[in-house]
Amino acid sequence: MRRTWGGGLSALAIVVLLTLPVSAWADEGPHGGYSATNTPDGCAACHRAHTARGELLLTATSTYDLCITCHGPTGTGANTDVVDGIYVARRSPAPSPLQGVPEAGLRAGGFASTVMNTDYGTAPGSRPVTSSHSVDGTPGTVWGFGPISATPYEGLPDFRLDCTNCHDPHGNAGSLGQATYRILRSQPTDLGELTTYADVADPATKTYTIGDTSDSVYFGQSYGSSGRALARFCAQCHTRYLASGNSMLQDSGDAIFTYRHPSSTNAVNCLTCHVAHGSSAQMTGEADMSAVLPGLGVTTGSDSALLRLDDRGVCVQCHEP
Amino acid sequence: MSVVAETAGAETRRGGRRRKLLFWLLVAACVAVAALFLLYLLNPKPLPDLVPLPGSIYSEPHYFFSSAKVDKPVGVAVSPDGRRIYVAESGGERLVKVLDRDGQVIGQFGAPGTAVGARAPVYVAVDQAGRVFVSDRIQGAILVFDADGRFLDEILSPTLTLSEHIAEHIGEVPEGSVFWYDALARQVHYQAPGEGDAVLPAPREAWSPLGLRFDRDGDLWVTDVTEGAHSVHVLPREAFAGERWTDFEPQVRTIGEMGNGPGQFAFPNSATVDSQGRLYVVDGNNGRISVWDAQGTALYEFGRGVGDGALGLPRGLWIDDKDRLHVVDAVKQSVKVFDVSGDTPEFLVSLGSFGMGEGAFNYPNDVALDGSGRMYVADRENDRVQVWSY
Repeated sequence: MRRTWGGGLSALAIVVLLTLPVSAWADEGPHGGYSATNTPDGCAACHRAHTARGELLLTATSTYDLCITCHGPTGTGANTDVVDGIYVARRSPAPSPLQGVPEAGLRAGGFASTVMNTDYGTAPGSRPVTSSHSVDGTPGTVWGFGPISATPYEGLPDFRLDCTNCHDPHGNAGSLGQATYRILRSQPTDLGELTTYADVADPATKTYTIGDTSDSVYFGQSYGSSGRALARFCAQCHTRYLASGNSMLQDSGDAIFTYRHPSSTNAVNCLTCHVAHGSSAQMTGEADMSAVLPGLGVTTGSDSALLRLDDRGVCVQCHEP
Repeated sequence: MSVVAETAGAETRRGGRRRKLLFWLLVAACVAVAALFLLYLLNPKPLPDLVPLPGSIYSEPHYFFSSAKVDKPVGVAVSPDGRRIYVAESGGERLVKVLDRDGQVIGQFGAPGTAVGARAPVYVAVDQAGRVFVSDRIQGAILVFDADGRFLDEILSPTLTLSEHIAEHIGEVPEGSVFWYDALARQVHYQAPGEGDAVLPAPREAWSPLGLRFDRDGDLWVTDVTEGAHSVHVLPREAFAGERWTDFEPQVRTIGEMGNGPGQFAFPNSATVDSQGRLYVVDGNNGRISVWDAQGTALYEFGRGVGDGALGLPRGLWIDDKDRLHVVDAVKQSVKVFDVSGDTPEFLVSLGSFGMGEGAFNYPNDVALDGSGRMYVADRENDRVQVWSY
């Protein structure tokens, strides 16, 4: 009798789980909100059970091509245009704090161009990027990847990154199935170097965009408790950049990343100075790193290293002369 | 003289005669070809008018050829005479390319006064006068050009044009004046003839037009993805009399609302009507087609489910004169064709599959047909427009 009751309860639980909408935290669009009644059709937008052409049963061979089908410059399926780094929506009368500022630059920048005000002077306009994460299959170096080492090792070469390394298209990407900031994974795929999860909480007061690029909004907004999680998230790949508050005074023991600027404190995290997708900041004068970097043996040219401001303007945002 | 020698001589003479005969035949053929060529040059004849091809509703189009390279094409439209194909590019300089019927690029134009990252042309429609209407996601407007790409005006909301907005600030907009809208800088630029650039404030009204199609009566169907208010508008043809519209007050009808229930849309990508006045809306992110009657009442949706007729991410659509509904499916890499002449849609055929070869698609986004049974498909990631023929 007990087995019968147990079986019945299990069956009931399965039925309930399959028929309930998954979560009130469901992320927008096709990135979540799955249920037994609508999931099969929703899945088919990106997956095929038997006739897939890409890994993970994707309809696409290129993840990037699939993502920009909605998130590209056409905006045919989303308002977040990650190619141009702009939120393309116009607003109906009732704005929501979770939605972006129309026609404003994305906080992450863009992969081809951005709408940023990298000199704090001119009006923000569309400018081509000077550095970006390569997500279209182009191989790149993962700087700072790997453990602290006395043997010089700048990073992992020839790594191919795509959007889904960092973002979970299914939403609810936290380690406990909770919603996360920008559907960021709790641990990036393929390269997760740290053993702890980096659940970046979804801060309800943050928008997708920078509403006013004429002031210090980049730096005036703390990511609060999410800041350290953000730093840990970036450090899953850029491992040796993760540095606590007194790292500028302590020898890390690494041959290259010896003394390091703090990147994981309540006040400073990676996004304090950098953008995630791409930046159009201009590097001139001494900031133009056209020389060979000591110990790295590479020429970076005028690469802006995903910094938010021209030259090294990010330094004086905190260290005012 | 021996018999053998006589025979050899006769054969030599016969051989000589044959060679002469062949020579003169060749000369005559050359003269005939030259005469025909001369006749062709002296009497050039225009291409015959395009006429609809006969055929059953069940006939299937076949791959014909591909255009010259266009950069990530996403929107396509054909001029009323079928001789020009307008293609919106989402890559490169993001222009509208003009192709001839052979698929060769014969011209290009784009949003005036904008940098590449400040314009994003998506869908295109051509009215009976040959004017080209282009939706632009970043500009948040419909830009209107003449057939040769000369900028005419810009529709900034269902009831406001750029020329009207300027007229509200300066009075008359004289002939020969130049103006454009920079949506990112939120500035309107205006130059009266012979004068410098004046900057006017941006309009307060806004929308997010996406899909564009003219129906048989010349009314313009626009899908609108304004945040929180996804819908479809129809702008009557009377609104587009003249070249600039400084008194733009069309009787706009709006259909639907945002959501995923019956009569609701999530990123509607395209809308048009059939011969019976029924409206078909590509409800993109809901993965379905939404059907409405002529009075604006939601009838039903179709396209969800399994099988060849099921839709993934539908985008552009076109209904031909046989009431065949053609829908581009961006992730199923195909064009689905339905017969919508009856009470309920009947799936006919799925055209194409993923790939880079002839007749294969790589994220197609839009489709348009001309009156002669040619079907043009914007094949985005293959950087081409494919031409199919019924």
